[in-house]
Amino acid sequence: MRKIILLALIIASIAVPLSAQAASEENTLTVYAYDSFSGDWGPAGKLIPMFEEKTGIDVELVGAGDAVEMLSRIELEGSMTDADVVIGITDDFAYRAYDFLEPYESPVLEDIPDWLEFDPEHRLIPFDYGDFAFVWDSESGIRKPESLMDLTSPEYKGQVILIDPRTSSVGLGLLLWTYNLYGDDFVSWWEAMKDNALTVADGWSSAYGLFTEGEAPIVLSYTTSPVYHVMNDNTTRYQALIFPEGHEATIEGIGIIKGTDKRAEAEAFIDFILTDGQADIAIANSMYPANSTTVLPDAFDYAPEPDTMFTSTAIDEEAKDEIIDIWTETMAR
Amino acid sequence: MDRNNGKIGLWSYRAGTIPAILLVTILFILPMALVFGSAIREGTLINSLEDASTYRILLFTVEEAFVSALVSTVAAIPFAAFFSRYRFPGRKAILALSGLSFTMPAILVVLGFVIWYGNNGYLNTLLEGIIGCKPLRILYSFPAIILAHAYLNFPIAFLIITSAWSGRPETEELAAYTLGKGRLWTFLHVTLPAIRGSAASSFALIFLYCFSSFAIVLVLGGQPRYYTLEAEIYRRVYIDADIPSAAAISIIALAATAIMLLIMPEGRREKRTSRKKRELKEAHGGSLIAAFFLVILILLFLLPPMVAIVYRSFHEKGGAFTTEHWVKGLNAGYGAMLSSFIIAFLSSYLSTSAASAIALYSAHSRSRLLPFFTTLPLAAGSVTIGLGLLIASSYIGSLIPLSADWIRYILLLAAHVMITLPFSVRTITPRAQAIPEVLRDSAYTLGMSSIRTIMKVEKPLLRSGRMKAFCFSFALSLGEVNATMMISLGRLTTLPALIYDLIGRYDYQSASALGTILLLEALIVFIIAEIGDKDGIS
Repeated sequence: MRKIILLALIIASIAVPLSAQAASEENTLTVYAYDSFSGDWGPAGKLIPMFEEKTGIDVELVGAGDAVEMLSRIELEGSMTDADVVIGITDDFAYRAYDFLEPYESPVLEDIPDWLEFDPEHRLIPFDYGDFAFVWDSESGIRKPESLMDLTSPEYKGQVILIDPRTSSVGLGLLLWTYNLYGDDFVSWWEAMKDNALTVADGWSSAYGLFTEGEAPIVLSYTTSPVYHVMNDNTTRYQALIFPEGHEATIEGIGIIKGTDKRAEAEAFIDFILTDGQADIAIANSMYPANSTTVLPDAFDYAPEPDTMFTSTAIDEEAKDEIIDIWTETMAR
Repeated sequence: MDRNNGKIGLWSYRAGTIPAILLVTILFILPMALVFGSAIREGTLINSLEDASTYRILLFTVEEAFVSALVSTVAAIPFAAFFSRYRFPGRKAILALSGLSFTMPAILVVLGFVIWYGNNGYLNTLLEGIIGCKPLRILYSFPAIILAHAYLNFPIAFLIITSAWSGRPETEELAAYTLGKGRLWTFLHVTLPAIRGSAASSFALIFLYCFSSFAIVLVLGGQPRYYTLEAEIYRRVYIDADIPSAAAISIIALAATAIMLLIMPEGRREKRTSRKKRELKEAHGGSLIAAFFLVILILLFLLPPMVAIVYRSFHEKGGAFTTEHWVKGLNAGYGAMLSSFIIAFLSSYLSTSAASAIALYSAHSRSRLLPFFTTLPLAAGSVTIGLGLLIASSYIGSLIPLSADWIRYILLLAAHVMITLPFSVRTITPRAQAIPEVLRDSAYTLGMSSIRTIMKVEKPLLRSGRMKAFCFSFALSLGEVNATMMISLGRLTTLPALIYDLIGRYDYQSASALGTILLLEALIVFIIAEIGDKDGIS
């Protein structure tokens, strides 16, 4: 009896990779996507079938972790990679991706504002962007913080969920935000903030999860986060805080992997993402669309755009490492 | 002791371990060599050794692992003492249940803790109804890390010590009582030294598990200085894509855990002189009341976070009942459930088989090297194992004409075998050591060949140990996520990987639904094991 069960399991175990294999046929476009794009809950579930029907090109979507993990994977795989297109690399890490990408002058570029085009050679083309912001629970009974400096006020002791810049791009976003704003004096902001942090989570998802579970009334996230709650929970309880000092922006790009043998298909995919895909991506990712002609649902009224935005495209790896080291020293004291 | 007789058949024990040693060498040592080679070539090891922050992280990692292991093991001893002495209603159910929390992937423990113990968790909400405020501030502190680690690992200590304790007869204690010694004296001088081996063994295991803790330390700790070597390895691979520098940290971590394994005190070797085990006494009167209290204590500790997850899967944060997320979760999770089950079953079967060969050989030869060798994968941590196999996959791809998906699948299985093997070895070895030499010798005297002795005499004696090892391996594999994500690269999804994914979309409710399924699967395995374990010790 035991032998039979074991045999059945071995047969079943052979069937699993075989069925996985059936999905990856020769003539398909392989797209590496970050988590918020792939999967049944991301925009991919709707967009990929739409694209396949429209163009007749089959797409194999590979979920490759968050934006930075995906980038690391492309670096690690190098020329061995199966990917033809990669979607979701952010401007602050773009310099690491350029060696693996080839330029594409998409006709849609004319509808994309110049300030978003962080790569003049168009190896990475922006498809959406967002601004880091603190989101607060307006029903928590705390006073609404007025500015980034105001957040350091002692009344917010243990009320803020931060994210570790060593393990998360959102966490790094806040660190660069304070660096762009205060220069070398960014340390003072963090010193003052130390007691106000309930926890420093490892990633955005655990931080935001803690927030929605009601663990603390303020969390580091994006200006667009309230859109999700308006559309899915029908509540305006969670609001993004727009600070007068300005906000750190993050721009997400899509690009073609160098040496692909599916260049035409890859171009068609990118054009599709930059036109038909824009509204769905913006809604699912809670980001602003890069294409300025996109029509958005009313819920986006709850995603106020700041007047002042910084980008960190120019900060190189060494400087970034140094800032992180200083941060670690400061917070570990 | 005259061991000449035992050595006659040593070659067949040795032969039995060859596949196991090959397994560890090919699937673990070679990939590690690739990882370490890169660290030394690129000079990152020297850099990391010269960096003060490395030592700060190392120090904290050792601290949290040590405290977690100590707390879990010490807390388990009184419970084990009682559970290995008395029989009472619900005893087996508790033993099966305590295996469950061990199955939970760390991220699910974090989830369960936040939902239950959180500032706005169910416990605080319940208390608010009684006293009007939310009084508890348990999470986001060092004690919260220890509590969560104890939650995951108390069952390891509890089950290992209970099983070892009930495996030895009470004759020595009875002798002590006859000599007029008190209960406390007997406990300290007779019982404690006798269970030292299993306590040390569970301490070492828990230390190693907590040494490679990551999500729990970062989320529940709440301070950037609570940061482990494993998190640093993860960061260097995933964020910086810098394998040589990640490998440097791996070497340092491995060196630290290897030292720890070598200095762990080894328990006195108990040779069982008869197959007779301790008879469990029926609990009545005072001991029944005590049993009741201990059961309540364990239930209060283990159940709430699990129940909170199950409850949360059916309820919106606001409290409204819904099954919508179950439908969503099941639709997305069907394939993942199947592949998780198959991988867990096959890898546990392989690791248990390999482990019994290794355990028998090391019991005969009194080798400490072999168990140490096979515990190395545990010391390396699952992230590093995944890393090594990932690097190796490109070499394998050029050697063997198999599709990339096949290679990933095989490597995934390999990773799970490596991750569960140390546990199997550590569970089975004490049982193998307890087999009296007399038994083996009499088998030879009766003219049995050494292979027949292994198959007919020794293997059956290891049965309950193998069963236990299989269950824990199964549970461990079911909850494993670090190496899985590293190797499968998004193509093969397992249940815990999908739960991670869902939490990543802050769909806590669907994650809770799949978490419930994971717990159910593990519960079924533990129940089957308890029924199948005819010896019925634990």
